[in-house]
Amino acid sequence: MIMKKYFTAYINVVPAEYEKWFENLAAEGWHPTKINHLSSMVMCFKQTESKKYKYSIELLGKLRKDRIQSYKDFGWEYVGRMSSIFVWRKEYIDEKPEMFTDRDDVKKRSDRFIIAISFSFAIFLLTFITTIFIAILGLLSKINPDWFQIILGITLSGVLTLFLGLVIRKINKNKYK
Amino acid sequence: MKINKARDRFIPMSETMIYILLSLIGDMHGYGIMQNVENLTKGRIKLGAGTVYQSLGKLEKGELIKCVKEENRRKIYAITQLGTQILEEERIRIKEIYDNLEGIL
Repeated sequence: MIMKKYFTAYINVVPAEYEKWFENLAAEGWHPTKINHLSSMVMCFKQTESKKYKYSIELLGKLRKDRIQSYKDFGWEYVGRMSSIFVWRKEYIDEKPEMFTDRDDVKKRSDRFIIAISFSFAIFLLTFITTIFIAILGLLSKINPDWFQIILGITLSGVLTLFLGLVIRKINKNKYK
Repeated sequence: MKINKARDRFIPMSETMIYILLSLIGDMHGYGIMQNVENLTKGRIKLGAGTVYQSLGKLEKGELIKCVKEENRRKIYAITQLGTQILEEERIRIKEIYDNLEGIL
């Protein structure tokens, strides 16, 4: 049995929440068939046996081979990557394993997500301000701009700026999780 | 100069960093460090894979440890002279805290 989940990385924006989401599905027997660059939009799950997995989400520039080996030594399985988001999991019986056991490392992981999102946030904010500025110029001058494009630009960049701002706020609030 | 930079960057050192650094008095890889720390602390500290990997990267960048061998994509590290010096300074600092606490409690 196959199940599809959509925009999971955009719904579960806090890394710890995303991990919990994967873990709950694994407990019900649902495991991702493959994780690749498109998985943040569509992810397929296959139902087999229920497993006690600890998932771990990490944002990395590139994955070095010695990191894979080191994690493997600790029993972590590399599940896949969605762009720069890397997914790992480890099966356990009693004590739930943690990828990061130092409070500062957990915060560092959250900070990396915040920095990456802040870049897109800044671009959309700049687009939003620029389109508003163009709209004001259009209203004050005799030039008749394409109002459909301007309104579309303001709406889209405004919504995305707001969404990303809320995501940053939520991750920041949960930075030690 | 190097020692001053290392002091600024690493002192005071976290418990995790101290245990990783003292494990590397003998050559060891990441998983070996985790096992050693678990033994030394009688199971109290179980270092996570990510924490060990990141700490090793930070210590290597600060030249407190160095990679001495690579076996099957597994890096083996050892403490450097600078690392030993920093560890000794930490020992003195922690002993001072211990002595001061012992007099009060």
